[in-house]
Amino acid sequence: MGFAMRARLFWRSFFIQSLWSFENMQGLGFGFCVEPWLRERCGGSPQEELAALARNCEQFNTQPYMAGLVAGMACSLEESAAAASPEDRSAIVGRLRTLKTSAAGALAAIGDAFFWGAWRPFCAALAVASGMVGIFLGAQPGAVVLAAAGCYVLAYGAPVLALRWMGLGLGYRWGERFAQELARFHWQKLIRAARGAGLGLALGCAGIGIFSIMSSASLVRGVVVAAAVGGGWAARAYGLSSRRLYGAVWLIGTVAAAAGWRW
Amino acid sequence: MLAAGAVAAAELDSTLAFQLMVSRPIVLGPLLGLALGNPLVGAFVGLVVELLSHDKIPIGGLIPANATVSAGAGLLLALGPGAVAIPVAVPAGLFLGWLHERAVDSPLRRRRGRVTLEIAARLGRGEPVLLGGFVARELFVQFAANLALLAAALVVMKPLGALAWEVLAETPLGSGLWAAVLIAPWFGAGMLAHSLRLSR
Repeated sequence: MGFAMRARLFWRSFFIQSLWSFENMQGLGFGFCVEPWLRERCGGSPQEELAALARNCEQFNTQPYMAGLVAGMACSLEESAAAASPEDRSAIVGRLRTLKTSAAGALAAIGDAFFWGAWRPFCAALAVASGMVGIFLGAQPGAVVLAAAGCYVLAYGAPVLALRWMGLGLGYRWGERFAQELARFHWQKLIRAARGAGLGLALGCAGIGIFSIMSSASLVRGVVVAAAVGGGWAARAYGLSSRRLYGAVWLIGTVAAAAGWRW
Repeated sequence: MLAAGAVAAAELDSTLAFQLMVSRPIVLGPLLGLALGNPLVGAFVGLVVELLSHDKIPIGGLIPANATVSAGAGLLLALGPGAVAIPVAVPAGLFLGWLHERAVDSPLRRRRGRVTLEIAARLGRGEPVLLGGFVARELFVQFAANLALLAAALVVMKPLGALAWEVLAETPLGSGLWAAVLIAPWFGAGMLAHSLRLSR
């Protein structure tokens, strides 16, 4: 796959969810992503090109950043199908459908657990930690918050963009060996490492915040804040939504204020 | 209104396009705050909404309350002309994020279902389909719906929020609102730590 074509597919992969629907999920977005490749490599006739586009617009759903891997694989198999004899073509197309479905499920599980479940919360904790470091170093607060936001975007965006770009090439190179190649990566270790680092940062930030409130304001306020951190953990453990928790804190705060507590 | 347009455009990044997370409250908050003249308030509101919504993500068929709209609307209310007090602006933003899910996200997904059927029918008939045109149209529709909701919220909720705070500020209910917004980052931190626990 040449650089220019890969760049076009890469750009289009950003819109893989733009036509998301309950009926087809990312199917149309996937078709939109691989459309230039199908036009260039599989367009023997307008009918063949449309048939290739139609089968790549079938229902499909995976973690959006992982979709590049499947798109690369689909390009590889579509290319093979276009070059094959009519008898072999239907077999390759059948294998493509099966591989697409199984790869989408596996990649959704990996991608959701890593990006949504570990990397995004880790980056949020990293941004808060970097902001706290900036404040402790005495940097200008306005600059600190902008730097923390930049830290989040860079930390999150770098692996995402790399995976989107490299995924297209890897998927194309792997072709039908997709499952074997994917199994070589130690995803679980990566997920646990990101989660562990994020947990350490989140608890570290909360601990430093509680300590500084206890030492600069009052012990009681520090205890209230520590109870709030524990309450947030317990609320999530018991499935209480953040909106309800917010409402509960409002209620507790109102009752406490009526009883004479000054926040 | 320009800032509302920026929030409406940033919202596209949350699900429909890019997903580079510039739409996340922790990023949008300071940037919008800077544009509206106070990056610190922006960072605070962004942090509160981020911590309360970090594990609510639109995976598959799930449509959670929209965190971008929550943070964006909260900040548009809290900063600029006719600003509303932060203890009112934050819960109002959270409410608008929930309203966005009901009034914009869900209906537009159903609309895209009809678009899907239309495209599938055309492909089935062997008619050429310009997918890029559909993508651009759906992005524009989402942007316009986002902007309409945010503009309506600003027109209705700015005077209402200011009036509510005038009445509540010196009462225990007002103190409770302050307590909720000041404690929210801390229980949000507990929620964040829980979502990162290793025994999951």
